[in-house]
Amino acid sequence: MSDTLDETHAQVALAALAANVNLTSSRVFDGKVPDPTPDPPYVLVYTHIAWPRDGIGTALTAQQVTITTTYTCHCVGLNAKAARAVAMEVRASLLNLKPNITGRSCTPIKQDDSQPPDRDESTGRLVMDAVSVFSFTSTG
Amino acid sequence: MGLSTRGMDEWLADLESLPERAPQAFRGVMSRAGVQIKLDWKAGWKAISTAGHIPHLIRFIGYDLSEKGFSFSVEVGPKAGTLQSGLAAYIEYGTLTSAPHPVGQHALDVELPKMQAAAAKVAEDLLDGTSH
Repeated sequence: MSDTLDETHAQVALAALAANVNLTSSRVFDGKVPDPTPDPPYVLVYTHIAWPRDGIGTALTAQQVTITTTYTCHCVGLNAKAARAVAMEVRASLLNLKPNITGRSCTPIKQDDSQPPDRDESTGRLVMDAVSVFSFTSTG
Repeated sequence: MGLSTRGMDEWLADLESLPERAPQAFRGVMSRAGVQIKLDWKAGWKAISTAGHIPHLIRFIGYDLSEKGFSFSVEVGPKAGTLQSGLAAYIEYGTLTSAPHPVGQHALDVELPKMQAAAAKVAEDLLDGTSH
């Protein structure tokens, strides 16, 4: 492993969410909800790092230089209103945030998609889950 | 030194015929983009369906092309109300115990620059009269 670019990009949103006083690191989970399942509200973040090959992904030198980082945020509350409140905090932390990564030129984080609060019983208890998807691109 | 106006009549004729030629040309670009996104989406979900558990969901991914005047739009995705369509959101966005598989978004991200390049080429051909 010669660099830590993938993890650095992943940490952009995780750090921003943990720094939100209304969320804090105790309510921001990376890829997995802890066991035992905590009480809502909380946000579960799935991070996807990709190095696309098409479009702006490839430089004139034929090197793949672009990273796209996508955060699928599951905003969890006991009811729809609580889930929306978490989604608002996530949006406040991430939307239009311009990441600062050494050696990279980054676009502001944008929201790609969102879903209304929906029932989720996969953790063994009924909660409401509102999904928001954010992403940004960096080149270097 | 002087100014030549040769070819202007022909170019003006090309411009005046644009409202007739342009829609068909751009309709083709959008339709091809929709087809490609659909195919990529199906292939992506087939790849993650190692147990073959979402055959109907994959089968019912389609696209609709709509147009209003000179505006074209393509909507691609699982058809609502079909068998297993209720699983689409869980597969694409994940759940609290299952990671997302954003294949649809990825298919769009891959196709978008190609569609833009194709649309630019079509526009160029329409303006210089090479597409009739």
